[in-house]
Amino acid sequence: MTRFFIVLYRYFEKHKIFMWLLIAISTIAFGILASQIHFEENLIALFPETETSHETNLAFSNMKVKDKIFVEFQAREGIDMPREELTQAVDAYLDSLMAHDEKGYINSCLYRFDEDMLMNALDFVLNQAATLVTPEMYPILENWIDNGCPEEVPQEAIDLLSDYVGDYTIIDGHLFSPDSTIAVAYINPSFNSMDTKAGLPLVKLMRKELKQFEAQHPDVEMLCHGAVIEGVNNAQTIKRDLFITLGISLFIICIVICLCFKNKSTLPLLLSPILYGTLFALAGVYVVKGGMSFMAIGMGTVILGVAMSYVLHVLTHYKYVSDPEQVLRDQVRPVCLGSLTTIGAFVSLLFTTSGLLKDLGLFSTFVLIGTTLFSLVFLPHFFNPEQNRKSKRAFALADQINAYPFDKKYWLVGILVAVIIVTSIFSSKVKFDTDLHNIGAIKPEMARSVKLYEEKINQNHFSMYYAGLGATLDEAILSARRVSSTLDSLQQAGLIYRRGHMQDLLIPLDEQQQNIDRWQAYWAEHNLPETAPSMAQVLAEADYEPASLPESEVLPDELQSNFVEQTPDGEWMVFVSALMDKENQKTVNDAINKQKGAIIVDPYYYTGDMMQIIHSDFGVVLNISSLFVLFVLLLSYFDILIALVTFMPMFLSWYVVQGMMAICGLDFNIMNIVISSFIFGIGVDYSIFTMDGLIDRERGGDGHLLVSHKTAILFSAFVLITVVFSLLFSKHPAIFSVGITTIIGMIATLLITLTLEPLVFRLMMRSKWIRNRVTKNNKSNK
Amino acid sequence: MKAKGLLTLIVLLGQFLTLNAQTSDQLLENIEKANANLKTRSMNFSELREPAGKDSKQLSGTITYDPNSGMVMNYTDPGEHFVINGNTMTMKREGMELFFDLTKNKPMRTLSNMLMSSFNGQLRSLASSNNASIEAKKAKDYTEVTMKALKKAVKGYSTIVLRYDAKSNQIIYMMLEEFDGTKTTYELKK
Repeated sequence: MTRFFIVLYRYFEKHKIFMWLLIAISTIAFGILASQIHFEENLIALFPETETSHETNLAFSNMKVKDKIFVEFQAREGIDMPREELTQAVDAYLDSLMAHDEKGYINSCLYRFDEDMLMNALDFVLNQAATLVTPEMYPILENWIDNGCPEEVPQEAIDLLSDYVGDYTIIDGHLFSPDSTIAVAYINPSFNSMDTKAGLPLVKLMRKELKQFEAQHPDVEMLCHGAVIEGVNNAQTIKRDLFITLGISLFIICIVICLCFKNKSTLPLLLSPILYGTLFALAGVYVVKGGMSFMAIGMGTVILGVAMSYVLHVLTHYKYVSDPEQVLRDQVRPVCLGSLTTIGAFVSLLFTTSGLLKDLGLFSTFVLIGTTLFSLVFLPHFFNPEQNRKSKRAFALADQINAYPFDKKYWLVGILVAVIIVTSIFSSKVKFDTDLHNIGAIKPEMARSVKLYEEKINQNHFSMYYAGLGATLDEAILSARRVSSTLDSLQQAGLIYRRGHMQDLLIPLDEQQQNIDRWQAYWAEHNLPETAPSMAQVLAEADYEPASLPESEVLPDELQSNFVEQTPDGEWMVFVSALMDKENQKTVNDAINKQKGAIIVDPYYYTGDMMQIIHSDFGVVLNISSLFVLFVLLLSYFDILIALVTFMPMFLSWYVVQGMMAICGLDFNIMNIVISSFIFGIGVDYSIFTMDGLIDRERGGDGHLLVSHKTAILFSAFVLITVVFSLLFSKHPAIFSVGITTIIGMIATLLITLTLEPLVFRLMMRSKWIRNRVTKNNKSNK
Repeated sequence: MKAKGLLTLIVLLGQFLTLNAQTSDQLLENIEKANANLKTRSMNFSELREPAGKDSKQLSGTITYDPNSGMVMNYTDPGEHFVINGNTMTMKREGMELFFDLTKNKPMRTLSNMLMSSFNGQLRSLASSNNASIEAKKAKDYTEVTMKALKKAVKGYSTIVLRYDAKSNQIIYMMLEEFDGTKTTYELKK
């Protein structure tokens, strides 16, 4: 393998123009392909591409009830504002927003009940009165007749009707909280809330309108929340955090590397393989898939740090030997081996069921291949031995650090062994957090909006929506009734506070006919007194026919979508809402999920199972990649003992990471568990390079190879720790969790590599038999 | 003999009824044709409102009908007006002004269609779309058209009686009766 790269080097030395052409053409070609790639920002890509139930698919689909944006208006603190003024402010903002929605991001918006809506509803209710009268209402009717048909509506009827209205007060045709302090509105977007890319223009429009609104209505505060806003905030926070944290860390790294390597060409030499590798990766992903998840790119930027470490190895060794061919002789094998094992870890992600993890695996694999090939094929040609310089002070410091006999400091060894033992015991206690809500970033103003809505509308309870599904509307109504019945039982058991009743207005057609027959039979035997209002007589004598409320187009879409919706396939969903304490959510959801034809209108409920699938997938994948790494090490070193010693830091650091997280109360999640595969890759690289150096010294080498490897490891570790440490300053919980787990893993890997690996190797070399075997085997491995 | 007489009576009755039926359709067609190219008309009107179980009220004003845009009823009582303008309706009554979008508001759309059709003579389609029977009769000075709902409903009109001037076939009288017995009667004069 080394011979191949040396031959290639010599060929390109004689054919420089061809080499430059090759670099130029390949870079341009990759660039063109990379520019065609499209990035998926839909969170659904995160989830496993498994066969999911029909109900699960609907939970992820474009459902207005789950996708809606909640908007609240209130007078600012200390300001006493008449309700009419607040309603005018509501109209001002939403009228303007709707008028400026030229691209149709908003499907409909419920913010006032106009006369048309109310008249249509009243007209329908009166003309369908008999169909809506259920047996429970007859005692109220009889009581009213017995009392001489007074004009006042019976209190029992008002109580019954108020269940349908829910927890709102209507003032001037606008929805208010029961205490009339906040006005509420609901915006139905025309896209799926999980599509954060589609959500961004709408959120931008809302923010722009808000600025103008606040200038014109400084006394009114507007807050909003919803899945669309949460998704956009999340994506923006990730992008900003990565830009700031990685930007700053890369700046620091470049400064330090430039100071240590002391050549103007250092930065271009360091960055050109990374750039080439990135273009190669994007081009490769485009050719294979055409697109990839944007979140995978975000996570993949950390992988660039891994790729940089191979470049650092080549550059650092060059600083020591100043001979490109010698660099290749010493670096090809460990770089290829390290790259291969790291690639193996990422290729294993291709066998998971999650689109996101597959994208990350594919991207990372291509980055590493591209960067490694550039570093070994083209980079040595850019070296100028006559101008090779390094900071003597920096390298002397590095040598001092490397010369420190970590493996001979038995107190350090003792502490490390103790940490390994303790963390290994606790490692089984680490938890995997399947709740995707916990890895989302919520801005303070959105959290305030959620809290305000829960306090004012939901009486400090958590709100959930459930759906009854059916091929026809009547089937969906019956499914929803089963859900309602279960919720009623749960209410009696104290698990929910209350359920909604809007959907009770929907009655199957055959049941409507039964109600009509009952009504007509009643009036065939009863008469109204003369004092009864004339309308009562009309109601008693009218001819009735069953009619479907949704299909009558009585209610506008923005109101109707809160309790009934038809899917593009023609199926119907009837929604039932419930208020509960957050801690009962899972119990209630599990109870409803058992119902046939019931849907939990919260995609994250189903992602819990999916996350478990990913977690299980990942466990299998990790085991496979570990075996792969061990196999490659065995093939490379031809010695089981050496392979095991080289494997040891990677193996132990994984238990250290798990144990430390369990002790610190940190959970794994979908984001940081993926990055743990990167810890594997680095762990193996460090231990491979260290082992190479140890074997070289054992074979009679002057030890410079080991020094060079250790210095490169030090620089690589510095780069990676700087990058990862910067993530700790991120505001996004998922990125922060990636930072903390990686830091723990990196430090553990580094310490074990510098301490235990040389120690165990040294102890092994006391055996003459092992020493002979090792030195003999590895003489033929070049 | 008796049988022959009976048969003759039946035939004559049949002819009479047929003649009348044809006459009703013909009368309706005459009204339609006479009002098809009607231009803008302005008239005075008097209105009698008789809500069921309540006191009646007499009002008056002017009405302007434009076949292209709608109609305006201005009441002498300054507190009231009623306007149909394309797809919108405005009603000011008892100090309250209400706006309706006729593309969304079914009851007001029905009222608007009824009023406009009464003026433009499209009575058969009006009856058909409202599930009502229709019959026209000739009187001395007018043609009277009666529409009756075929089904008893709660809201809407149970009976509508329209009268058209015998010579010009233009509307001079409207009586709208609702299912609860509420009646509104308009008399129109030039």
